[in-house]
Amino acid sequence: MRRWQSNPVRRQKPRTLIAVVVTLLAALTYAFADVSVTFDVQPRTIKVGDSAVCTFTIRGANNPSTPSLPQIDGLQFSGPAVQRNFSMVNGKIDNYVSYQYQVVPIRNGSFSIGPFKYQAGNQVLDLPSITLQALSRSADASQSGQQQGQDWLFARLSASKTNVINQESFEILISVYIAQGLSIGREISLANMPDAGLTIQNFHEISGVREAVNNKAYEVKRFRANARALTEGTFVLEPVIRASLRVPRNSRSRPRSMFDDSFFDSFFGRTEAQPVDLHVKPVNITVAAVPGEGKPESFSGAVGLFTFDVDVKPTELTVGDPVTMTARIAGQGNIDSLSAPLLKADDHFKLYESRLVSKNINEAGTAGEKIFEQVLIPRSEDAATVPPLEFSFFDPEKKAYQVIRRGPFTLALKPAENGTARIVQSTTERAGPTRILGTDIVYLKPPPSAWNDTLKSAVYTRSSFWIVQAIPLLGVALVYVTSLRKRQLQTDVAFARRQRAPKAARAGLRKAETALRETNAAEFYEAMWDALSSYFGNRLNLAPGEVTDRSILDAVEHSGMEMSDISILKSLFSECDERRFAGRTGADKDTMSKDLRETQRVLRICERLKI
Amino acid sequence: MRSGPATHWSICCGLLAAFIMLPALVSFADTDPSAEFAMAATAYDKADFPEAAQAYHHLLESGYETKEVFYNLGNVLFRSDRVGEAVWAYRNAWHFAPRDPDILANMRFAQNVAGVPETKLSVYQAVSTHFSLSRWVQIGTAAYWLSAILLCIIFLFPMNSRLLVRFAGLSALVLLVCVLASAYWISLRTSPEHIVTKANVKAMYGPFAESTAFFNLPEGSVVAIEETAHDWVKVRSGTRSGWIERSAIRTVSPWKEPSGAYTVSSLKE
Repeated sequence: MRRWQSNPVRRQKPRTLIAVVVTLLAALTYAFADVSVTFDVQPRTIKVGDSAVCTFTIRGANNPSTPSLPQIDGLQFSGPAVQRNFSMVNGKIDNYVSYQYQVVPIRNGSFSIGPFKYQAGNQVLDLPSITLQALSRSADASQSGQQQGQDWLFARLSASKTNVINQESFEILISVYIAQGLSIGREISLANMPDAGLTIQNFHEISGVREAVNNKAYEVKRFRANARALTEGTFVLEPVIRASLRVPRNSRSRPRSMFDDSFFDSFFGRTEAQPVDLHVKPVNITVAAVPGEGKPESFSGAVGLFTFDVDVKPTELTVGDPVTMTARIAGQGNIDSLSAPLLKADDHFKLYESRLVSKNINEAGTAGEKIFEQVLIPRSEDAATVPPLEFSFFDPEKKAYQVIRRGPFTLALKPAENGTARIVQSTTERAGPTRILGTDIVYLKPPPSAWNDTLKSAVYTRSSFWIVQAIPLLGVALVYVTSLRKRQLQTDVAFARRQRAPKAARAGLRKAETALRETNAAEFYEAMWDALSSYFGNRLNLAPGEVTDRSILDAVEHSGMEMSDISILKSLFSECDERRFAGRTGADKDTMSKDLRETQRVLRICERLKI
Repeated sequence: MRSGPATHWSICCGLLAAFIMLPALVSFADTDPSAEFAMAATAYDKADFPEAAQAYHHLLESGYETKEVFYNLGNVLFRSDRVGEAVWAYRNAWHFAPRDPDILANMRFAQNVAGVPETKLSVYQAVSTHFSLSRWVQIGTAAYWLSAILLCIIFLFPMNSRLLVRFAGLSALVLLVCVLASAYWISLRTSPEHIVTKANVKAMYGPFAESTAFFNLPEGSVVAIEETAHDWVKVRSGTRSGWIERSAIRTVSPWKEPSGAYTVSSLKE
C-alpha cells in the first residue's frame, strides 16, 4: 500500500526533468539559430473586391518585430493577425511566428508588393517583391482591357460653399462610388476631420444614385451633413472614409469543409467585412470674418437671411401698467445661437429682462424661428413712445449687412390714480379663474375678519382638537359593543338568562327582607326559595321543572366551590324545604336573619364562580 | 329654575369649545393689528413702499401671519422691484387660500414678469390644492363625525339601514380624499417649497462657483431642495436639478417662520 502510493511521485520526476531539458534546448536553439524570413501572397491572381493574404513567416527569432507593408495605390491592407507555432518532430524543433495581412484590390491591374527589408536583431534580410494580379469582376471588361487601372471603389467630397463667412452654414456631401459587383456595409466612419474651427453635424445618408464615370456605372451612396464655420481661417477637409467592403470569406485561412462551396457561400452569404480606407481629394474651406466696415451697432452675430417682426400690446394703458413687446425672428442661418435684440429705452420705462418664449428650429439648427418677449412698464406719462427695436444680420449672399427696424410704437397713456400705478379693485370673496393676469397686480386686500386666522393657530395644530376626535371613535366602539350584546341577548337564551340571574335573586331577597321585618317565617322561606331557585334556574338555564336542590348542588359541586359553602347551600335548601313542605314553623328572627345573610353571601360567591 | 337636558348640552358644548379655542385666544401680542394694517395700506397708496413693508413685517413678527398680510406684503415687494421676494410672500398667502383669485393672479403675474415658465400640476396636486389644509381638515372632520354617527345608527338600528350604509360609505370616501389631500399639504411641511429670490441665478453642475452652469433659474421660481452641501443646495426645478447658493432661495413656511425672519433689510436703500 505504501509502495503503491509512492510510485506516482517517483514517476513524475523523470517527466519534469525531460520538460526542463527540452525547454533549455529550445532556449539554446533560439539563442544560436539564424533568423530566416519568408514572404508570400496567396492567391496571387484575384478579382477586384476579393481578398488575398500576405504572410510573413519569421523563424529563429524570439520576439520578432512586426513587419509593415507600404501604402500601395489601389490596394487596401488590414491586419496583421499574429500566429505563433512551436513543434518538435524527431527531436527537431520548429518555431516560427507568422504575420498575416489581408489585402483587397479596389481597382484592377497588376500590383507589385515589395521588395522589403526586414531587420531581425543585427541582421537585415531582403525580401523579394511579389506581383498581385487584380482582375476585373466583369469578364468583358477584363478581356477588353480598356478599364485597366480604373478604381472600383472610391469616394468624393464636396461642399456647397468653399468661401464662407464666419457663422455661416453650408453643406458637406460625401459620395462613395461602388462599382457593380461590389457591396459595402451600412456603417461608414470618418477620420481626419478638422477638430476645431468648424462644427459639423452628423452625416445622414440621403438617397443613392447611379452614376457613370469614364463610361463605367457606379452605385453612389451619398451622405450629407450641415456644417458651420466658427472661426476665421482656411480648413482642409480631407477625411479618410472607412467603409466595410463585403468580400467572400478566404477559404484558405481555415480548414475546408463540405460547405466550402461557392453555392453555399452565395446562398448563406458567406462574406466578411473587410475595412477599406478611401481617400478623397482635399477640399479647402476658407472662412472669412464678417466685414468690419458698415457693421451696424445692433449686430450681434446673426449670419443668414432672416425676417423680423415686433408686436407691442397693449397700446392703451395706464402709467405703471406693463407693456409686452414680442419680437419674432425667423429665417435661415445661425438662428440657434441668436439672442434677443436689445431694446434701448430711457428712464421713462422700467425694463425687464427679455425671455425666449418660443423656439422652433430644425434639427441642424440652421432654420426656424424664435420668439422673445420683453416686459416694460412706463413710469410716467412722458413714456408715450416705445423706442424702435432693431435687428441686424449679415447676408452672405449679398455680402452686406441688413438692418430691420420695427417701431417706434406709440402708447396711449392714462395717468395713474393717486400718482402711482393704476389700481384694480380687489374682489376678495369672488372665486373662479384669474381674470386680470397680464395687466397688473391686484390691489391690496382688506384687513382680515379674524386676526388669529394663522396657520400656526389653526385648530388642527392643537392637541385638544385631536383628543376630541377620539370621541366618535370611542362612541362607535361603544355602540358596536352594545349592539353586539343586545343581539346576543336576543339570540342566546342561556346568555340572556345568565344576565337576568342576579336581578331575579335580588327580587326574591327583597321579598325575604320584607318577610323578615314582619317576622313571617313562612313567607320568608318561600321568598328565600324563590331567590335561590330563580337565581340558579336562570344561571344554569334550567327549565322550571328542572330546578331542584339536587340539580343545583350537582352543578355547584363541579364549579370548585368550597365544601363548607356547599354545605351551607345544602342546609339552606333543606331549611327552605322543611319550612315550605314539612310544616315547621316558629323560626326566630335571628335564625331567619342569619339564613338571609348566608344566602346573600353564597349567591355572591356563586356570582364569582364559573358554574 | 330647573335646568333641563338642553341646558346641560349647552354648557358641555361651551366648555368643549373653550377647551379647543383657549390656546388661540392667548397667543397674540398687544399690537393693534387693524391700525397697523390700515397704516401700511395708506403708505402703499402713497407709494411709500419701505414704510408699508416695515408695517407688514412688524405684523408678521407680532404673530399676525394671515394671508392678507402676506398678500399685501407681496404687493409691496413687487412694487419695490423685489419680484422674487414678492413671489415668496404670495406663495405664503397661497398656503392659506390656494384658490384665492387675487393671490393666484398676482403670483402668476410676478412670475410672468420674472420669466418663470408656468408649471403644470399633476391631478393629485390639482385636487389637493383645491382647498387649503385647514379646509381639508374641516371637511375631513365633518365626514369623520358623520361617518361615526351613521355607523352608530347602523349598529343600533340594523334593520332597513341600506341607505345609511351608502351614506356612511360616501362619508368614508370623502374622508379618504381629505386624508390624501391633507397628506400633500403635510408633505409641503416636511419638504417645503423654496423661492428663488435673487436675479440671474444659474444652477450649476456642482456645488462650487467655478462649476459649469447648467440652466438659468429665473427669480421667483419655485424649487425643491434635493441635497445640501455647505452653503450650496441642489434644487429641482421641473425635471432638472442643479446646485445654487443657499442664500439665493427662501423657504415658504408660513406655519413656522421664526420671529424676525421677515425683515427685508435693504428695502429702504
